[in-house]
Amino acid sequence: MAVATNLPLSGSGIGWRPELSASIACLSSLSFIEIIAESFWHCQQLPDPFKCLLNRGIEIVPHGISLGLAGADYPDLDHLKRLASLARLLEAPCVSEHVAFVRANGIESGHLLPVPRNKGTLAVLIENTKIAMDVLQRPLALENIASRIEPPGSTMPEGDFFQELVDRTGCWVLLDLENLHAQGRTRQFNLNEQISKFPLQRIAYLHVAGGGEHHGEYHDTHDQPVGEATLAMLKALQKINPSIAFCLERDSNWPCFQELAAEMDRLRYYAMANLV
Amino acid sequence: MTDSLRIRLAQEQQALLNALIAEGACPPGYESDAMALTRQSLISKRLREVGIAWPMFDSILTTEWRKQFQSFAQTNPPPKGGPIEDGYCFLANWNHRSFTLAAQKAMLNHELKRSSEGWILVFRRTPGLWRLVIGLAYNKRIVLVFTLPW
Repeated sequence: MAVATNLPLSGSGIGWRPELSASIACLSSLSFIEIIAESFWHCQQLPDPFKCLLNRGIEIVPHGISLGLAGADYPDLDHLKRLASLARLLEAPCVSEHVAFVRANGIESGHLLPVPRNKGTLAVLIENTKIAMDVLQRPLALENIASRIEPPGSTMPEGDFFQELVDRTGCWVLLDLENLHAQGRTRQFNLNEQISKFPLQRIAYLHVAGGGEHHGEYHDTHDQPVGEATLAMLKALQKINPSIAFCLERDSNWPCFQELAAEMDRLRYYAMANLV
Repeated sequence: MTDSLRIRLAQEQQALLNALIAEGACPPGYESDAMALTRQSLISKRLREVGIAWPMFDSILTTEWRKQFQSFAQTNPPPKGGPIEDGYCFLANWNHRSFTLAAQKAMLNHELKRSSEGWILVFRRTPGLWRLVIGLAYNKRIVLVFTLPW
């Protein structure tokens, strides 16, 4: 398999959250952080914690959650301009968003919702992605989401859908391994088979996180250490491309610094185990 | 070129969204169990996010607000302004007669922050207590908040 050499990111990263700010500032061997773009819409200047990280050579990736590129509407140009402006301020190596829709007829869902994976949806998504890339003027990585609902009318496996999206737009993929794991648990598909269909040579970086079972259902809650299934996928992908970057997401049940540092070390160990 | 595709996609997405957040019927082809679970998890997510955006809710409204919010979210889709606006809409919709002064002040503070440019005067009355909370803002910055009678 051809491996891309001009990846926008490398090494290990973490999703920056205010509750983790102090711990993140003390983490060593960090290559990048990912911030929720919409939380910093109105920043005219870099917040101090980010200045310190940039001074240490740690890159910052704005991660959008409400653009809704797979929505039926054309992307909101004001929204895109704000995202582009934030990316410029951060000198971001890339911007990431989701393959999802978040609103319809002016009503917000407050969540990332799935679309049917077929040629019609793909045509709309491709057009929207090209518009976004024109405005952003930097690499755009699009993420797979997890959802219990499967819209009727899907005719393509998710990997093929992303492959065609990448081929026709030149975008990158943010492959969320925990989302894949959650989908695999819900739909009972083979994870390795599913992963192999994604355009692995165009993965900008990976998301890893941990979830748990509630009432017999698996939820990607991002509040637990990364589980074995996700670690196995991380290891397999690093074997294919040792340069693939990963980003840990933790959204609640906040760990103390020692726990967080140990979790990052564990992930790096898994990632590097292939190289030994 | 994609206009007809967009029209069809818009209809599908609107039907799905209506079913998930506005008591619409489950569109054909969707698994009703998965829809019900997703609908509940969307409400739980909203509740969690509003709780983070309005940390004073637990103290000024007691944990009763969490139960009330679940009913509110069944029929009110999330507004554009995110969890802060969602929490405000919930408060305004609840309009609870026993709202404390602290709750009225929280609403008034939010109204001042999202007001238009220039000088803005806002007041709220606490039902049953005959007290006024008065706030003054300039260019969305709160200048003064006080209550009458003192």
